[in-house]
Amino acid sequence: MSHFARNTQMVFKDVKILQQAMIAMGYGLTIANQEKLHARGFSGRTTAVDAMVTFSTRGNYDIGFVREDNGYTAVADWWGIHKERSLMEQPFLAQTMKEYVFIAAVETMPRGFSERRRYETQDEHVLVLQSY
Amino acid sequence: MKTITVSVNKTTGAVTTKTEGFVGSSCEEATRALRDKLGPGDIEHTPEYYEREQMVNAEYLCG
Repeated sequence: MSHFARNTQMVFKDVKILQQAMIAMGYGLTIANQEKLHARGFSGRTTAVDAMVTFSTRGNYDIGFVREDNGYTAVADWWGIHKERSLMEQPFLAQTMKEYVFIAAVETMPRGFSERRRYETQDEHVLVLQSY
Repeated sequence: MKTITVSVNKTTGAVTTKTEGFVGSSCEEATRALRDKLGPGDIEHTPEYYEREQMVNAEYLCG
């Protein structure tokens, strides 16, 4: 069944870093100013959002982010997103979280630290920062 | 040498931050800015907190 679903398990606190994460993944992120944006779902239904992923090709379904007290959470009609763009909710958001966290870690790196390396294990993406 | 290792689970997006070589509270100070961007971690709140707040699991280990 097609409907909007909010993923509250992954919270992105900083929308500017979320925007950078989307760019790193090859997308864009439009951030609402005063008025809400409207993410599209099945059969022309929409839901109000505070930021919305922009794709290089047009479609009929959107991925939005809703601002709450603790940060931004994703909302989309994932059935439509998968049908239209072959993107699935959990892998898409886990990849977004990886990009978000690595950008945040580099941006907030203490003085004297530098990025040592990035690597992957079977289960994890890993970033190592070091100071000498 | 001080090290900060940040890991993100490929499936769940859960974040773990580990540190080495820090003394005393310097670990908390060094990772405070990152914590502000990622949100509170498991060592700071109970599972009930996360259930209530519906926040991502993050874990900060200062060693």
